[in-house]
Amino acid sequence: MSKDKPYVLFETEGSYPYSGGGVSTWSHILCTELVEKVDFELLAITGNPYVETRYRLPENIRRITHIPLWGVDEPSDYYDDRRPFSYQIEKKSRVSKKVINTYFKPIFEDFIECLFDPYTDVQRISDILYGLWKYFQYYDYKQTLRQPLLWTGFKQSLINNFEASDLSYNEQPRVFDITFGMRWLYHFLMPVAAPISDEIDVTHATLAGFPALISIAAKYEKGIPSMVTDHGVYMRERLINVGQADMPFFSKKLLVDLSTMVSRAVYYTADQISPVTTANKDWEKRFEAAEENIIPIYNGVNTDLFKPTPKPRQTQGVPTVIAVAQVFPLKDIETMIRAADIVRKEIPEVQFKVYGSLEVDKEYVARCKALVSELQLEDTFQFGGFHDQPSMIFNEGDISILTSISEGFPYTVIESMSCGRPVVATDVGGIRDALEGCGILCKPRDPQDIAKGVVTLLIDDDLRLELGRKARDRVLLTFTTEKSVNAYYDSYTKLAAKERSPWKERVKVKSVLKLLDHVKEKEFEYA
Amino acid sequence: MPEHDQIQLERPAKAEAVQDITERVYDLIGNPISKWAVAATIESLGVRNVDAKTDYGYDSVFDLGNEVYNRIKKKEKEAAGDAEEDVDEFKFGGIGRTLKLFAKHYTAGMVFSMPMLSQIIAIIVFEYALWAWFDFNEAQATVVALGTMLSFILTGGFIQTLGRLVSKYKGEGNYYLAAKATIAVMKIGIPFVFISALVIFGINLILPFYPQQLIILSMIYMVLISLLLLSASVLFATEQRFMILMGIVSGTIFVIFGMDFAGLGIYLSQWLGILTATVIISGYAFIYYKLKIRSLRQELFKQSLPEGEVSYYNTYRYFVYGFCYFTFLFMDRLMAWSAGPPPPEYIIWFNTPYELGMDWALISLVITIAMLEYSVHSFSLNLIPAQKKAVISKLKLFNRFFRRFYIKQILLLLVVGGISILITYYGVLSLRIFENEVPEISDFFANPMTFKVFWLASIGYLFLIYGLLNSLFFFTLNRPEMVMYSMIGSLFVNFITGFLCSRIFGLEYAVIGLIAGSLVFGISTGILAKRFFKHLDYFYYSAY
Repeated sequence: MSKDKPYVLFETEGSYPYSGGGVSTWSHILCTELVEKVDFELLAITGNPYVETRYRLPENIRRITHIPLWGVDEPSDYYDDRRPFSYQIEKKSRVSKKVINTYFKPIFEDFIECLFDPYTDVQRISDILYGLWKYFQYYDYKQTLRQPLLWTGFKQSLINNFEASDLSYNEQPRVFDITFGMRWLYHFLMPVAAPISDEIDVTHATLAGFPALISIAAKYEKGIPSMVTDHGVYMRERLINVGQADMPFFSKKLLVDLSTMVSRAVYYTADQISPVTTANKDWEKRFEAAEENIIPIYNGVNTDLFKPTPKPRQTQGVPTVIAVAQVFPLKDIETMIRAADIVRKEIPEVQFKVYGSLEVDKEYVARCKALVSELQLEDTFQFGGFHDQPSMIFNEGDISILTSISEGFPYTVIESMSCGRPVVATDVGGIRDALEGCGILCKPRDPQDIAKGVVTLLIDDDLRLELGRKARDRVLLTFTTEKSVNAYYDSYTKLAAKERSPWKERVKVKSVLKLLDHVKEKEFEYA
Repeated sequence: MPEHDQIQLERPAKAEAVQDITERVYDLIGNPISKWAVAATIESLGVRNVDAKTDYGYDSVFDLGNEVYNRIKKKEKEAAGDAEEDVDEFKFGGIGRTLKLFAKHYTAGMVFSMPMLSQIIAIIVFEYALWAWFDFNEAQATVVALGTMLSFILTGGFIQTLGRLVSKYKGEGNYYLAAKATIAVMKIGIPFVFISALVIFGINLILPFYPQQLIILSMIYMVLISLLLLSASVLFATEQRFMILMGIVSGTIFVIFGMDFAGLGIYLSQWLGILTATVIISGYAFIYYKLKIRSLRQELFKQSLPEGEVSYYNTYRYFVYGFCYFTFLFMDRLMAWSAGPPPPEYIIWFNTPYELGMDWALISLVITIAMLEYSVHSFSLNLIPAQKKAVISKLKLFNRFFRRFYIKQILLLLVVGGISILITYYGVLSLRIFENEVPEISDFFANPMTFKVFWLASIGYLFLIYGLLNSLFFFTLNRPEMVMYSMIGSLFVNFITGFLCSRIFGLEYAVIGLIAGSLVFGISTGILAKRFFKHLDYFYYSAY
């Protein structure tokens, strides 16, 4: 690090600064809190180009490279917007059949081979991804991938792969799988064509997916250290989402395999993997994360904002359970409703209030409301909708509840804890890391167990107050924004100070070596 | 309870639980892509490692995932058996669906030609149209024809560019950028029209091809018709075609009013008529965009078009094509009207029998061209279903399906084209029964050149439409370069052949240039189409 503060390339996908949500909030806090200490360059992947920043960006965000994966005629206009378009036209003119055949096709064939076997040697995968990046620094991305001979090669590899596999007739690829498969490669791999700024000291990916392709390239080209934050586990979420998508079998497989190879390479080349919870280690390790590199950094909460205050007049004297959750299936609000039904039998005056958007899954909201009326819980269970002052919500109740069937490290738990309101939550994801010893952990999808936890806390005032105090203390000790942000700052400075040894010296894949020799020769001409 | 008995009791319960979770996973993801996908799905259902052990009897979610994966795969294999689908042909709906589609899109195609038909009707019934009049002398006709041709040629590139940009953004549901693109094109197109008028006027000052009065009149027509064409192209691209007709009809009514009631004279009536149509069409386009943007709340987002040089790079092929296409359409007239005998009064001089022959043939063109709407919709409609149906071991079936589809479209074009030429010929010929009552009709048929031009132009147009059919397929998959180069070559052939024939054999043989150019356009795009359909999978992939 040559300057007085580190310059970090911060890589996001579908979040900061163009969308809202948990990861964006976290990113904004991180960048804003480090305004004096760290400079950031954002590499933000979005679905389409027509987005605008949702946040007032702090001045330490020096520049943004926005890469929309879809809806763009000339992607280089986005991923390489510092250079004039005439330069991109020059890059287009360099793409010839000879260049493709001699330098790109061999790397592309190796890439496809890995795609069909995404659990192959991860060093090989990383070398190849670097080879792709290196190639696209000299030759145009779109012009290259549009070449018919790459298409023919891709198609043939797919046919050969199917014939050699034990997939059944029904699982064999359709023409749709080839056309969309190759299109997906074109769209998802776009970040691999982005140039790397000279000033970068550290790369920080907010997920182990496609935006981190540039971290891999930076590591190889300049030895720039990288870190990855796992809010959930990218691969796990990808497997769930793609698995449930309505698309042909082979397309799903191709998408997941592509993500798998990229994710493995990201973990493999990362110097530090910082999940927001210890709960996902199992998955991370299975996807090439070295245990010694996994250093969790918990999310933090603003304890001045989220602080204990007395209950407002309208809920005083009423046992009140607060939930802050968008109403959609992963939050399992149906189980919460059933738990409320059981609790009411013991504490008839109990009130459950759910604050969170009702717009995410309207069908599910309707189902929940139908269940409320079926159980005649209209006077007990209320949907409060979106609330713009989350710091006020938790103090309305005596306790909080979270019935999710899947979570990372939810803010809602530590925010409630910070307000001195103990939480009854399902023991999924990283909730245990936060709650153990100062709240009640329950089995997911078990209304009986959850209701038991709620009743215990509502009828035992001493226990509730004691756990509330403990929760607040735990937050002050471990989960403050300051602590979290400092942990990232320490990581940045530590990584930036690391001696750089570019991994390009380690490349073993022949096709990539051949390209490296070629561009070395051409460096002067192409400069 | 002794431990042994408890285990005995638990076993069936756990087996049932595994069966239950297998079914739930299958409901969610169907045929699983991997064991990992199953494990992730099981976790997403709220099953943890501890539950895997207590509720299902497996050490971890991953172990449970393996078991569930194996069970589903076994079930899938049994269900699929070894029987391969014996598909040797794709079919999407029967003849009923095809006829319905044809009727729907052919009618939509005809709506496009309604403004033109409305002009024909207006001139027959009232003797006036927006820029035509029965009583124009040859000098006046030359003025108007020159203005009309130049307006099409000068705006052709802008019309195509606008069409491309607006349909792209509209296709993405982005009316804000569609409006912005419209404004951006207009900002260049409108000044370009005015500057061109000034330049032509200036050239005529230095090299006086025409008397100044004629050129001024001609330029006024050119500017006004250009503005009308540009505004109509916005509604065409946004598929608000009915309002184009409304605008044209209103403008025509104004011409009739100006002539028959207000006594404004033909020029003023027509200019105000064209302006009325332009204002109505532009006003509607403005309101249309405003309402769309407001209802979708798109004004809240700050969005911008790509930078100028990127936009030029992305659209220049459309621009060149548009310019060449409209020049192509008028090239034979330019050749014929500049040839003799008798020698033309000025460099280009209106020739009535030639124009009548071309107008007559234009009717057959309009009736035939409406079918392209059906062909291109039918193509787009089948593209994805066919790809989903075609397994790669039977890739040939996919290509064969579309090759057959293509041949069917050519046959359909021949049938529709043939019928429309005959209908146009005999339809117009049948007007001869009024020859004695309406002297204009006998004038129409007086010169054999009109017949000759009609037949030759009709044949030329048929080739041209075949080329346009191919072009539409290429445009659908974002390959404008394939059309652009063909059109440039065809324009050149049209010019050379038309020039030579009109000078060697007589002015009416300028239409041979149209035939030759159209033939080149048809053949060159036909050769490309053969390749296009042979490698349709590739062209579909690379249509980004």
